[in-house]
Amino acid sequence: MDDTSKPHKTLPIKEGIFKIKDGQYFLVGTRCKSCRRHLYPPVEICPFCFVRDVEEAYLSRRGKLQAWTVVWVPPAGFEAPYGVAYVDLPEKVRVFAHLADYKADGLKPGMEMELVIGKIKVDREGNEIIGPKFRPVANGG
Amino acid sequence: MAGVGMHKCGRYPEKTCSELAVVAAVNALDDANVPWGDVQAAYASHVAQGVSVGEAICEKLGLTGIPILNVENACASGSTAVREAFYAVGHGVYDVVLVIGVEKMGRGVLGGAGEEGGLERLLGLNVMPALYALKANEHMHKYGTTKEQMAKVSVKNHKNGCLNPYSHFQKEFTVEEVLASRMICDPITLLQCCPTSDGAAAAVICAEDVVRKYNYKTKVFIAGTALQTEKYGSEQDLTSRTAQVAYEMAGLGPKDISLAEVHDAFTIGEILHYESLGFCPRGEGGRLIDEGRTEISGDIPVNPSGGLQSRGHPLGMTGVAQVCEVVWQLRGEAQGRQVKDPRVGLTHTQGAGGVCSVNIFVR
Ligand SMILES: [Zn+2]
Ligand SMILES: [Zn+2]
Repeated sequence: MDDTSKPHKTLPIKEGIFKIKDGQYFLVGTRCKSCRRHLYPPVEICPFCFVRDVEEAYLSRRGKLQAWTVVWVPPAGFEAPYGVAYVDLPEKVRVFAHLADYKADGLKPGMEMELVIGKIKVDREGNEIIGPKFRPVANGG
Repeated sequence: MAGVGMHKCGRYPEKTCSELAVVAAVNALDDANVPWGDVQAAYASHVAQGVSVGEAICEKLGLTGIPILNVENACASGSTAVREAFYAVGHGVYDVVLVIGVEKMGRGVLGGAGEEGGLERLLGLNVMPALYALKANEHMHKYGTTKEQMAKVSVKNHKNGCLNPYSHFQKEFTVEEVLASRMICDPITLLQCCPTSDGAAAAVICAEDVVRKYNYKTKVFIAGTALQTEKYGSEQDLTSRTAQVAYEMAGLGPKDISLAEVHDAFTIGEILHYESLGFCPRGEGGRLIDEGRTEISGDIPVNPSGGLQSRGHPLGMTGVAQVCEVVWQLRGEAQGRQVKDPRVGLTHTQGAGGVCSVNIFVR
C-alpha cells in the first residue's frame, strides 16, 4: 500500500498548459502577434512566421471531434485502457488529448466536445496527476 | 549499389548490436566483391544503441582510419544514411562507401519521438500505434476503409515474409486471425503492428566508373532521393510531398514504379502510403489491397520482402533492408518472391518526429 502518513497531492501534468479563469478551466496556448495564429501547446517562437513576439491565449473550451482511439497497451506509467482524440478548436488548433470516458457512446466525427480537467494517472508517490480531457457536450448543454 | 547484405531479423539477446552489423556488412562486401580496405567511409544508422556504434562495428571489420558517421533519424535513419552516402559518392568525395543499418529493440510499445518532459510524453500520447489508429479511424470515417482491408495488408505481408529468408516471422495468418489478435489501439490489433526485432542490413555504394572493378552484377542506380520533415501549414501530407521531390529528381512517376518497399509499421500506414505515393487516388487504398494489385503477382507489388510487418522493424536497419530487397528484386535475385521483370524500385520510410524518406532505384 501507499505510505498513508504523507497526504497525496493533486498535481497538474505540466505547469501552464491549463489555467482557471472565472471558475472554469481553459487550455492555455500561444497567439502570435504577427500572424495572429493560435498554437497549442504554448510556444516561444511562432513556427509559421518565426517571430518571438507571442502572447498567452486562452483557447475555446469547446471543439469538434476529429478522430479518436482507445489505447489498450499503454506506455510505462499509464494504466490502460484510455481514450485519446484529436479535437479541432475554433482557433484552428488541433489538440491531442485524452477522452474523459473511452467508453463514451455515440462518438462521431465532427461532434461538439468540451474540455474537462481530470485524472491522467497516479505517479509513483501516489499523487493524482491531472490534465486536459475532452467529453461530448451534454444534450442541450 | 554495388552490393547488399543482411543479418536475419529476430531476437538475439546473446549478440551485441555490432556483432549483428558485422554479419550484414560482410555479406554486403562479399556481394559487392569489395575488400574492406577499399571502403573510404562508413555510415552507420541506429536509433537507440548508444554512442558511436559505427566505430564499434568498424573496429570489428578492421581499423582502417576512415571517416565513420553515425546517423539517427528515427525510422528513416537507414534511408537517411543511404541518401547521405549517395550524395558523398555522387559529389565525388569517395568512390566506395559502406552503409550499415542496425538495431536491437527493447520490449513494449513503440514510443513516439516526444522528448523527455514534453507534453505528449507526459500525457501518455507518445504511442505510435495510437497515432496510426487515429489515422485509421479518420480514413474509415472519410472513405469507408474497413478493418478487413487493413487486416489484408498484414495477411499479404506475412505471406510474402514466408518467402524471405531474412524476415523475422515466417508464418501466414488469415484475416480472421489478424482481427482476432489482441487489441492494441482501436482498430489496430497486435498482428497489424510490426514485431519488435533485432537485425542489420548493409549496402556498398560505389561510383559508377569503379563498380566494374569489383563485380559484373546488374548495375542498380539511385535515381532519386528525398528527405522531408513536417511543414506547418502544408496542404500536402508528408509522404506525398516527399514522394513528389523524389519523383521529380528521378524524372519518374508512380506509374513507372515496378515495386515498392513502404513503411508498414502499422497496416493502415501501407494503405495511406499507396495513396500518398500515387499508386491509387486518395481514398482508394482499401480497394487496391482488395483487388490484389499490391501482391507480388499484382501490377504494383508492395512489400514483397514481407515489409516491417513480417521482416521486422529494427529501427536503424529498416531503410537499408528496404534497399537490399529492391536491389535483389532489380537484379532478379529475389528467389521465390521475385517480381516479374522490375525496372524501378522505390523505398519509403516514415518516422517519429515527422520525418519521411523516399528513395528511387533503377537498373
Ligand atoms: Zn506567426
Ligand atoms: Zn517506424
